[in-house]
Amino acid sequence: MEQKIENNRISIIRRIFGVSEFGLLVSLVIIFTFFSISSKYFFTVKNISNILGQISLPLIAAVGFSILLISGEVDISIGSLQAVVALPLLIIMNATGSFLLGVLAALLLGATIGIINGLLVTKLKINSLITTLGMYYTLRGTVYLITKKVAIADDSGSEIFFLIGNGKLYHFLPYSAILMFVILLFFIYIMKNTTYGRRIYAVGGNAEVARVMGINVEKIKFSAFILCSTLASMSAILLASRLGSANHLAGQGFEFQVVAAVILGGVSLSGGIGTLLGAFVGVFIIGIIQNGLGMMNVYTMWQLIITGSIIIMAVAIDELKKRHE
Amino acid sequence: MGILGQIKRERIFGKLVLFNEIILVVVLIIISIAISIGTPKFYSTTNILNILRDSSMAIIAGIGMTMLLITGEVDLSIGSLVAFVGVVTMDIINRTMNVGLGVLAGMGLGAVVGLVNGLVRTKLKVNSLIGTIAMMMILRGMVYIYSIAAIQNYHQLGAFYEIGNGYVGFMPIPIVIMLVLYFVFLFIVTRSVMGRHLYATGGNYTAAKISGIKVDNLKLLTFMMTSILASISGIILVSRMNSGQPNAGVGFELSVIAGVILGGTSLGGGEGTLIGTLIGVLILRIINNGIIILRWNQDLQIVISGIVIIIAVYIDSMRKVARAKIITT
Amino acid sequence: MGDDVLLQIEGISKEFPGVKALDDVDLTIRKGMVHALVGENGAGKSTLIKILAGVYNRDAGEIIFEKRPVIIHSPADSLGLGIKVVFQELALIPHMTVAENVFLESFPLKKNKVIDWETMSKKTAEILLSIGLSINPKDKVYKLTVSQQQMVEIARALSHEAKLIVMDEPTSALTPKEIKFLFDVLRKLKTLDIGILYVTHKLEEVFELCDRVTVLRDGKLISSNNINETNTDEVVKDMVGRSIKTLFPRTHTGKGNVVLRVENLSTEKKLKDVTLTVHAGEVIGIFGLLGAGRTELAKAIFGLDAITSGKILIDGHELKVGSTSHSTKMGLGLLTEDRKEEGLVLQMSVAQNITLPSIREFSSFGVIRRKLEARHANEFVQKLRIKTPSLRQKVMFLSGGNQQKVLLARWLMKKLKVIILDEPTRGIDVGAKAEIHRLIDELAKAGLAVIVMTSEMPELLGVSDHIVVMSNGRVTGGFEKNSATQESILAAAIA
Repeated sequence: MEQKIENNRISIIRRIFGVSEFGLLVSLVIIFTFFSISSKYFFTVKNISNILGQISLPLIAAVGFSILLISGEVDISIGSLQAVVALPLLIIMNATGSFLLGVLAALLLGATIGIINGLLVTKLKINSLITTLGMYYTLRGTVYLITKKVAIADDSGSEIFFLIGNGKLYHFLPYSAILMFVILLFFIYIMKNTTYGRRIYAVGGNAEVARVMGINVEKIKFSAFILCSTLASMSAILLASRLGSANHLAGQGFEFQVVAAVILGGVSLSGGIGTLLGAFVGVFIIGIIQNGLGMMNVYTMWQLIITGSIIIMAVAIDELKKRHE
Repeated sequence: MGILGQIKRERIFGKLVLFNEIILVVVLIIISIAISIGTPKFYSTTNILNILRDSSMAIIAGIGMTMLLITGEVDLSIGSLVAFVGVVTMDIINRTMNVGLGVLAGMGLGAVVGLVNGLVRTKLKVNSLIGTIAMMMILRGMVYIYSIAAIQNYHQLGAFYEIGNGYVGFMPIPIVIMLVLYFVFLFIVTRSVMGRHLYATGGNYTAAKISGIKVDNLKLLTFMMTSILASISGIILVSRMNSGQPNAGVGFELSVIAGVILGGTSLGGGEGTLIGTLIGVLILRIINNGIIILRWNQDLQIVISGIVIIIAVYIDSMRKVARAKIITT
Repeated sequence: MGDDVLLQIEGISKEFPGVKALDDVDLTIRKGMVHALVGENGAGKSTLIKILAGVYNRDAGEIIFEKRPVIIHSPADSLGLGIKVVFQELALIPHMTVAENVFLESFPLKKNKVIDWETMSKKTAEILLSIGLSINPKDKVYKLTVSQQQMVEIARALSHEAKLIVMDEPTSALTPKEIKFLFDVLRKLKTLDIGILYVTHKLEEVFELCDRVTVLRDGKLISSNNINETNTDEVVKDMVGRSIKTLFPRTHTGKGNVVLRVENLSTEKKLKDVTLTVHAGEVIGIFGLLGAGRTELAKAIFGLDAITSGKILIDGHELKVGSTSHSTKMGLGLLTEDRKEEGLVLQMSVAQNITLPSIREFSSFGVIRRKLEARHANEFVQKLRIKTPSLRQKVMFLSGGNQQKVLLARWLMKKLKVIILDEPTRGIDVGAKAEIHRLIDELAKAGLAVIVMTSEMPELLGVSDHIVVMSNGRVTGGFEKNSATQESILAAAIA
């Protein structure tokens, strides 16, 4: 009986978000306030809508990445994926004028790469960090090879292609942000309320125990790899739309931004811990920092430094937490 | 499990290790022959010296990376470090008109970065893979902040030019530097107490600790040596390019690691030889050289490096599985 | 066979390379009864329950469950039959909630295949309540105490309608209050006609809780009685029963000065106020059952673990806390319990492993003098009769006994003052065991202070000059060699 009373005392926000995310939300509010004060252009409709549009790319990829990370594996080739997947998109769009065909081809390529990563890790038992590191370079090199380091411009004249990355609903809500929210909410639901989602947590939490309980660990991890690459491909399509081309330099550093954001958001490198909502907040925070710093005319180079430092800090704190449990 | 079983297993496994190095040399020879069939240009003295000179930077960095991997750690920031060192060295020489000072500044920078990497690992307990990836980003950002544009050679000092482009007799200086460093460290790793400690620390951290080895200090020192050696590579590079380029070294860490792993150094720690690294790096360089003189698309280099890393890691994990089977019987 | 017989095991045998873990064992468990399985370390208890859990396959014998012969090949088979083994390392996913852990194998679903959280929470709460527990089903498991986590495992068993629950050494991490609670829960389970196999070495628990007790020794069934037909003394005699043949040569005599003095040593997790004195030339045997704190003591003395209070003095000099390099410099050596994990560098050679802490003695200006090293390593290989094709053989290929000798050689070479041996003959065949005991004797003869931690009674009595007994992190008894009896030692160990 005592415990029931305690539950009611805990605030609703805490119940929904969990304690660690509560802290994150507070940080979010603080940072938001800081930038609003520092620059009068920050807290404007135009800027907020820009931020939403900007974070839609890393967030969609972050959803897939988080799911994979929660299952206990990583994929750091998602940056190179951004460039590689744009190739079939643009090539087929230019050849056939059909956005739909291009998108299908792009997603297919993305899923295939996910399948390859998944097989390498689950069947050949190669460490996922190194495997996807190798993939990171292989894919990037392939892009250089095929494009000969020249961007493939969009000749298709497809309006949807332009709109999806750049258009806004009622001049406020970017279509990409709508897509982002749909994907986010969909997967939050899946991770929280389906057997599949809970199994991902189980596998990441303790794969051996999960196995003994009859969960097919390999199948779950394999599916997570495919999800990660496919969602990263969606980001790639949005990026290509923004750039209006398939660029060989696209996505450089992307994987590290996503990693930093997601770890910041509480998804643990060791697996089994973290939520998509947390990942969202993490991406949002980094998005705001980048946007805000841009408003303050801070060089982009600093973003690299800050992101790197955040990674180190976040992992160090993660380690400290682990040692205390 | 009598003596006979033991001896048989030692032969097989012992052979596998020696096997590894012999196989590598064989692969090296086969590839070389294949390329020279494709074009006779391959076998010229100039080309071979070119290969060796180009390999020198990766080999020097590979020395440090090998030692670091033996202790069970890794450093992915050396690419960004190379760029940073190049920029800083050139800038300092420009300002002070003193090559020695510039070189010292570059190496000092390497030492500091190595120290930080080491502390992040030993004190903050951050996994070295993630930690040095983060450092890679931080350093790259810092290079661009130091200078967005390439730093040109305003000093035109001869000594500087000589580092990367000069000769001692018929030997290019980079090769000389590489050979000196290589043999010094070869001796350290194979014959010295510190070398033994490196293998013990990577092979079994706790056992090394129990044996009285100061394991964390050793790792710290190894991180520093890796970065200092990488900074030497950076100095050679900036001399050869004749300008400090902020975008230099991208992908450098990959080619070094690929060569080191190909050469038989295990990602798990406790194993690896400098000889293997030498051959591994050479194989990759020869492949790259072949791609160039056979007029293939240069971007294949990076693709091949990526594939090589995957294959090398696969073989590495196979070895680990085989070993685990032996231990548990 | 009575109607209430749940599980009947007949003639089960299981062999591992070099060891017969189970030899023709019979066991009958009835519904609604708590059946105790006791025996010393290595008696075969854990092998038996691993066979029931489907982790090991039996070599011979039959398992008859609910009157039908069954084959258990995997954990899934075992669970499917309704057998649930609660191991010491709890099989839970730490960051998931109690309810999720209870229902992980099959979540209750709503019509559209979505998880029915409400039903799950409710059912979990019901099950927990039925065993008298009021944990919030929504709490994450890692926040619970060990006792509560155990209950979650039991709840999981109940959610699968388990018929036989096996508890493996359940109380080693519990407080007396929690133990009482566990007993209440188990008694409740009895009323549900569930059969319980209670594996332990704590006899007072056996006599308080159980209905029947079976004793194993060296893999064989020794006795099986109803509780009211036997008593502690008889059970102890059955557990320990072999005669202590003096296979243990004792040539060393006379102890010298105090070399090691441990005063009021405590650690955060286990040790409480441990005081110990060891003389040169003396062998101290430290006995304790699982969880007594022997390994923790070894590690704390050596500096591998942190100390919260107390002092360690070698020859009167105080040891720097937590510094293994200081410990080695002061002449302390440690042979760890798990020689593979913590002692040997498997990829290095015999010679290299032997010389590891002493390598500086074979080097000048930092360069190793290989011939010198080889000569000295060889000396010990000969002395200890280590079987290896060459000094350069990688240690991973040696047998367990020889690996242990390599570790012993390592410390012998170091000219230590104090050596701590933690379970030095674990997993080693009889012949090699005797050799190692001979070596321990030689160590003492050479003037070292030797501490041997062991859970094997014969070894303890054979090797030690003085016996210290530990239980729950404290020292609970001290005996001189001549005045020690197995019974009194065991009594102190379960105190």
